[in-house]
Amino acid sequence: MIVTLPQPPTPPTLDHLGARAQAGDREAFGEVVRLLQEPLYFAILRLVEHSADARDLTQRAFLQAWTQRERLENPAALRGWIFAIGLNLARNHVRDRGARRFDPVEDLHLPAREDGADADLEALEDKERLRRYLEALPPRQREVIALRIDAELSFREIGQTLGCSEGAARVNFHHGLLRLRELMAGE
Amino acid sequence: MTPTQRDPDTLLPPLPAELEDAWIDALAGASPSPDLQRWLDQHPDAARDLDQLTQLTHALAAERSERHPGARFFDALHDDILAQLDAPQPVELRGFQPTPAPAPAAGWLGLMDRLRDLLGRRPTLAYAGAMSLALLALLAFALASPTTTTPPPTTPPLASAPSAQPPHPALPAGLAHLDPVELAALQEQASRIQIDLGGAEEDDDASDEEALASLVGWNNLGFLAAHDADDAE
Repeated sequence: MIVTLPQPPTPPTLDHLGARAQAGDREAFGEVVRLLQEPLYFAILRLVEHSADARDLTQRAFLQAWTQRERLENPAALRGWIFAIGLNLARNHVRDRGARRFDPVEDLHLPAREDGADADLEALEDKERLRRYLEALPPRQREVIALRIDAELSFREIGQTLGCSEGAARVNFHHGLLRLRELMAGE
Repeated sequence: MTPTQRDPDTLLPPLPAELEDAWIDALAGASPSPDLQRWLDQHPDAARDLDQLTQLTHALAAERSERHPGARFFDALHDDILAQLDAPQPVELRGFQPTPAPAPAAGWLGLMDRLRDLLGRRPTLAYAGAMSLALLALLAFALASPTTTTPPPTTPPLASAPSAQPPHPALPAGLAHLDPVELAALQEQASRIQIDLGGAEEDDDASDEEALASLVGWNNLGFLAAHDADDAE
């Protein structure tokens, strides 16, 4: 049985909000923030793997989009444009930070009870393995997976964000999953 | 190759081309299209493959849900962002921020504004232009000034050369160490060189000064000895 994941949200008013925000409408920009902050945060979190850093970078991405809103050529591409800003900030942050750091141990939801602790720990280790294997992917494949799974963007929007075609985004997504499966099977 | 075998040259199972997008959409969580489902029903290995890969996407999506920080987190983030919209941004801006250019002034002032703007935006061009002008000026000066003069040393005048040249001016510093005989020989050689090179003979003062000033360099380079050797041959 195949479980259906939630489809990417497609707010019908985002284009209109983008045009108003570009004209300097703070209220419209506030709505844009409300619509995009959650997927952007999760996409950045997947790349930097630290919640405080992801929050800071998400905030900076929106502030940078506001100060440079005149540079947006097509308000209809607002989502991809803001995500591109966020991804650039995340890449620079990871590069400048050097060796990665992860969320503190208290964020890993370690089990408090003795019974069932083994199963919980095994699940926790699986999550850590998954994160580790994701980091082993080529950057483009990791970003596409983050944008598709964590940010819930469509492949067309992923292409806009990364500056590639929709087809290339699809192929990178597929290659990334295949590689992830190989890494997990290689244990 | 049977329909259920994977094509070794591609990463996708031997899907019909029109089903490739549907396959990837199914990987990403979409429901399989009716055509894709029919094909999967006929290819159980590919169906298992798809199932394995979608389990990965489910695991990633589940982890995303577990890491959700809660609605309050995003409410606070939203408020913080809006509060800082008009504040000076501490973000490091790696891109160029264009600022609206003022309207250019009319006439001479407008020309100066444009020139200042051009030089300001093209500092390398301005620097290269200034250096080129300076180099040209130096080159023109070097070509215009025939020789460099040095303060004449306080030495008695020498006897004239056997070529009966008029009395020469005081010696340059580079020749002060030569005795009169050596100097006379040098002067003789210099005169021959001037003639060989087509130097001016009418303007004796200038030719004498040129010859004397040149003797310093020619003597240091051993040119005169070499020239004499050439003559001997």
